[in-house]
Amino acid sequence: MENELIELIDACKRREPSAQREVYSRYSSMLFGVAMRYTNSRSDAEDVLQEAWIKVFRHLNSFSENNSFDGWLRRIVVNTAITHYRRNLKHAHHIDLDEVHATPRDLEAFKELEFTKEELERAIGQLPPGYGMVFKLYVIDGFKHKEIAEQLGIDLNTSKSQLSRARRFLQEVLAGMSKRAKEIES
Amino acid sequence: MSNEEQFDDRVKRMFQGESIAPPANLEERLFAQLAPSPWPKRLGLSMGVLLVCGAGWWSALSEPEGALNVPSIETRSDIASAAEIVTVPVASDEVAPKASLESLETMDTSQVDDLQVLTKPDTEPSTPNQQALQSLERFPVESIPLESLEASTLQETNQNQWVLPAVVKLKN
Repeated sequence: MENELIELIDACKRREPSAQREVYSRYSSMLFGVAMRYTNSRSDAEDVLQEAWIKVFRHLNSFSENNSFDGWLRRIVVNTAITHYRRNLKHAHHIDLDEVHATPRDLEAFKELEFTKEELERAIGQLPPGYGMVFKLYVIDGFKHKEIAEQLGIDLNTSKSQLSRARRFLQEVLAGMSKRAKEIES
Repeated sequence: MSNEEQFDDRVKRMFQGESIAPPANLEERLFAQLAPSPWPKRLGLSMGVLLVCGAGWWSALSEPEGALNVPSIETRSDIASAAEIVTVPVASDEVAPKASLESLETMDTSQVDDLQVLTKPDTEPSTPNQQALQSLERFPVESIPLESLEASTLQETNQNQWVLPAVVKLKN
């Protein structure tokens, strides 16, 4: 870690407001992107980000300089978003995806599939909330199944099976989008 | 690399370096929340809480049990002093002897109740003058000729009743 960043973090540990503002301005755009990914609306993302920053500044003493500061910040935002998600979970309907077994041919076809980030985001948005969380935690933010199971309060095997179904669902949705786009072009 | 891993890698790369600018007011909201409140404010708040708790504790200790149930001499005198103001308007040119506490002490309970009606606050729909008239009519007071009156002397009409010599002029 760079010396300049270490000094900045130390100043934040001493609760120096100018250092805290500097850290905020450096990382808040990246962290807001993470918060947006795990919430349904911009206002929810703002709440998550604000709560996460308060945790960051209050628990900065527990951060070890041997670790990645970006990674530590991202983890806090993701964990805050999970808490937010679990708080709202009781109001949500639980939807399951059917078990789908992808054939090797399907997966080969997927390799050549063209899709944009916006299309991928739209497809992820169509996943049932639990599946979407597992997929994003595992694929985008690199959580392990054990961690996901603990954070979401689900069984380890549930995490694995939801990830597998989410992948297959996304591939199908993206294939459908691609097919429609080609039809419009022709 | 398996097909699954390829897919995951492709997705992960799409989200790498993603950043969205948060709203400008979020920073101010956050730092307002993080800023410690100034010590005089905190001290004042703590003192206020202590004061309220102390006052509540003190009043709970000092209030005797059942104090509100039995009317004491003090409460009766309070009623009496209030009643004096309301019920006996005296013209300035007349001799107006003061009602003493003793006269009210000798009243029977029903009379005290009547006085309590008079001392009620202005929550009643009728005017205070009308209330005073109605209540005064209930008092068994015999009139005394003015000539035989000695100022500031209680007049005994019979063994149990004492009256104040007063001329009552009622407006309206």
